Amino acid sequence: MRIKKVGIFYLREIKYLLRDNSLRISFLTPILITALSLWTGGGKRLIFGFNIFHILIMILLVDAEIYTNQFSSIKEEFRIYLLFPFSRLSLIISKNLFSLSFVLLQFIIISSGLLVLGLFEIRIFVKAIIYFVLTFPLLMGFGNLISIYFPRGFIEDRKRQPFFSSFFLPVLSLIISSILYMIFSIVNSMINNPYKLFLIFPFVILSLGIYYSLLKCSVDLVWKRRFYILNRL
Amino acid sequence: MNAIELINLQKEFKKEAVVKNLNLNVRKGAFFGFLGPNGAGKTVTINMMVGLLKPTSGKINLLGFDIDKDEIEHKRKIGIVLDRPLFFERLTGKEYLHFVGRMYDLEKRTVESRTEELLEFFKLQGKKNKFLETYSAGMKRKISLAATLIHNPDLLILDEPFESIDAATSRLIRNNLELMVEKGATIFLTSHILEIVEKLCSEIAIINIGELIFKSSAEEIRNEIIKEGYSDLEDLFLNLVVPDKEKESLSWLE
Repeated sequence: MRIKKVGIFYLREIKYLLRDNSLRISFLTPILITALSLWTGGGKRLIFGFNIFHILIMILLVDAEIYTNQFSSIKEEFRIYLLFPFSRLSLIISKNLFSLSFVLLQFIIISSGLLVLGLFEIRIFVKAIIYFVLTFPLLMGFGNLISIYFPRGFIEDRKRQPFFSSFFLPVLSLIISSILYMIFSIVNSMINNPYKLFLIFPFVILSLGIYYSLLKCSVDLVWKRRFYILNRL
Repeated sequence: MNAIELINLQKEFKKEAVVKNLNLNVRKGAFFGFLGPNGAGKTVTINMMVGLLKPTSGKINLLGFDIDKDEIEHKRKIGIVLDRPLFFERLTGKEYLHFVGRMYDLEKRTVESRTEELLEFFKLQGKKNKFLETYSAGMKRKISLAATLIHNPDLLILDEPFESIDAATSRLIRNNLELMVEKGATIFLTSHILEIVEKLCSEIAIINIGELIFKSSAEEIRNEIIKEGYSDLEDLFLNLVVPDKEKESLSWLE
């Protein structure tokens, strides 16, 4: 893997974020939902019993479109990658870094807004970060596999195939929600006890280990299934 | 040594063969013209050569690399213009060339100077900061060619590169392609403009309904044209690919 190439590729992805309407809308959706929730709550609280965890879960679900469809967030992109001397590992890492920045930036914008408004404490913020560190590598790892097995391309000239038409969406949501809930339970059981907090680290290592194994698996699969992906996009 | 080797290459769509057992060698340093009428299998062959389409059977070697096994090395030495150019449309012309140059491992300074030179050469300076999606068909073709040339490839695979290009730029491109061949590059070209093919190519092959029906050097073709009494390459081409009983005019115009 060439770090320089990953950097070049990652910067191009970020440029697209700033320029592509569908990506901009995906980026703003959770921020707008939070703002709306604040507004209807009179600016002093989030309604519907929302807390920072719910917001994080909302971000992860809304952004599933990004991290479970890595190879066609831009029209024709997979075809273009295949024409360049660009390794599969670099490609997937760049895409994952982009997804990570996308989600993290949304989370930081929302949580700093809420911190400034005094709507939650730093302690909860730390808890949310731990939750994120445990969850997102798993989601990205599975997202890579979903991107390879169920690529969703463009049906018209510019429009992307609607995400919600995907037949596997209920299953996908169930898997994501189960992962989120499972980790939420672990974090909740440990966070209130400072001694137990150290027990989080093996889980972080486990989460990163699973991500690494899934990444290796995806790097092999993306080559084996490249013609299938090309056919679908 | 051969730059391109297509061995028993076959492509079927729904059990219908569109490329049939194609065997073709292109020697290094050749300016090779690959001709055929619409639907003959040229673009399908090229898409298989660049790895965008899976052959039903057969093998493809480019610059000595088996493209099914080597994923990266051969791509560093190849430039590709597809019949339908592929871009990141929300990048500007300058950004796109920059991105491509960096993907081919060129130094930043080299990429910057070549980008400027290419934009000037293709007369795209005025549009260099506009998104590619705003470019006309001809300009898209030009930027695609520019991106192909930026890393000075050893093998160029060009599918209809002169389509939508104005006459002046077309001549400049032709001159530069000839210069590249003189310096040892290999060019594999498809075009419907037979006049250009006749002028440029040192070897020509014709494919029809998925089968290779003719392959010869430019010199042999010239001899064939004189011997058989054809007026030019177009005449020879039409004689090979157009069926005898083809309808020549519309009934209401006769």
